[in-house]
Amino acid sequence: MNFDMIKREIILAARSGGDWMMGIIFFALFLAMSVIALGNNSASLSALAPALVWLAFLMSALLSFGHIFSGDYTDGTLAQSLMFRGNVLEIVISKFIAYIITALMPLWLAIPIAALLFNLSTDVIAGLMLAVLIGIPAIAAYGIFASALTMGRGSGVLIVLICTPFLIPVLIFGTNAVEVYTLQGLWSAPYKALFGLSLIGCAVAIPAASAAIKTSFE
Amino acid sequence: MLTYLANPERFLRFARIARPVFGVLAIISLGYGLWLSLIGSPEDYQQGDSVRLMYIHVPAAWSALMAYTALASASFVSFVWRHPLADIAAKAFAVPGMAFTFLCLVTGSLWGKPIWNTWWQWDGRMTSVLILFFIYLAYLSVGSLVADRKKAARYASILAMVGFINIPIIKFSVEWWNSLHQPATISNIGAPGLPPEMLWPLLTMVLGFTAFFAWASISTIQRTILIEKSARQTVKSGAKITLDTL
Repeated sequence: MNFDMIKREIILAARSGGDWMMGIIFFALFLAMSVIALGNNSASLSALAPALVWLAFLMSALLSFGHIFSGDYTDGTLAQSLMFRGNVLEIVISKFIAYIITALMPLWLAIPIAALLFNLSTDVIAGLMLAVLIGIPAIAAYGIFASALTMGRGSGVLIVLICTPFLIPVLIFGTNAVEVYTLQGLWSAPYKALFGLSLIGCAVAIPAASAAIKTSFE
Repeated sequence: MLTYLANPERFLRFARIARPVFGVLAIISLGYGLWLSLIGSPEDYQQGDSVRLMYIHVPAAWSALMAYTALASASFVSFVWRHPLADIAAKAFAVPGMAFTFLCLVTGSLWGKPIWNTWWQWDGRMTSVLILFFIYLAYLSVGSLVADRKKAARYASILAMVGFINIPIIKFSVEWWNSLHQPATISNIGAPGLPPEMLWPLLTMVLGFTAFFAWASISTIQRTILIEKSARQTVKSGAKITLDTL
C-alpha cells in the first residue's frame, strides 16, 4: 500500500470533471428504468427494492471495472510506477483501495437515497448498506482482477463475463443478508458468508491481478 | 509419468501409440454404451424412455468437471514452471470440457421438458453447471485476447486457477440460494441406488467419455506441437533458400 499513489488517484478523480459521478448517475438511471419496467406499484416495488439496489450497484461497478487499469496502462503510468517501485502487489493494493474510495464509496453513499425512493424502512436500508459495505472488498478485488487481465483489450462484455461467475455468490448472500437483517441482525450467517467471500476475494484476486500485470510487462 | 511426457518429442512418441488406443477405446465403449443405454437397458418405471438421457447427461457432467480439473492442473504447471507443453495441454482440455458442459446442459434441458414439464429450473446443480459454462467461455476468450501465445496462455492460466478456487464457493452458494428460494426438486438420481442393469451402461458411457476426452486432447496437443515444429522448420528452410540464392 502506498499513500502517494492513493492520493494521486483521488486527486485525479477530483479533477476529472465529475467522471466519478457517472457511476452514481448510472445507478440512478438503472433504478429508474427498473421501476418503469416493473410498474409503479409501491407494495411490490418495496419487496423487490433490495434486489434491485444490489443489481444496480453491481451493474454500475461492472461498467467501471474496465477503466481501473486501462488509462494508466495506455499512457505509460503503470510501466513507470512499476519501474520506479518494482513491487506489483503494492501497486495493485493501492489501486484497490483507491478504486474503493473513488468509485465504490460514492456509490455506496448513494444507496440511502435510492432506498428512500422505494419507501424502505430504516431497518432494510441499514441491512442493505451493511451488506453492500461488507461485499465491497470482494467486488473491488474481482473487478481489479478482471481489469488487470484484460488491460483495456477486448470489449467491455469480456470483463462482465470474467467477473460475473465470481460475483454471483456475493449477489446471493448479499440479497439474502438484507432479507434476514430485520430478524437476525448483523451476526447472521449471510453477513458472515459475505465477509468470508470478501476475505477470499482479496486473498485470491489481488495476487492474481498482480500476476496478470507482471505478465503484461514481460 | 508427467515429467516423462513433458518433453514434446517424447510426448509425440507417446501420442503416436496412445491416440489410436484411446480413439478405438472411445469408439468401442461409446458404441457399446450407446447400444446398452438405448436398447439393452430397461425403461424406468416412472420416467419411461426419458431415463436414457441420463446415460449421456451424467457422464457429460462428470467429464466437464474432470476436464476443468485437468485444465486447472495444467494451468498451474504452466504458471509455475512456464512449461510450454502445459499451455498447449490446458488449451486442449478447454474445448472438449466446454462441449461436455454444453452437452450436459442440453440433455438436462431435454430431460426436464417431459419430466418436470419445463426446459429450465433454477436448481442448484443446473445453475452451477451454467456458471461453469461461463467460466469455460471466459477462459477461452481470455486465451484468444492477445496475439502472443505465451502471454495469452499465462493470462488464461491465471483465470483458470482463480476459477478453480471459486467453483466450490459458487456451488455452495448456489445451493444455499436454491434451498432458500425453492422447495426441493426431484433432481437426485441417486447413483448408489441405481440397479446394475442401469449402472453398467452408465459406467460404460463414463469410460467412453473419458477415452474420448483423452483422444481429443491428445490429438489437439499433438497437432499443436506438429504445427509449431513445422513453422520452425519453414523458417529454417526459408533462411537456407535465401542463403543459397545469394
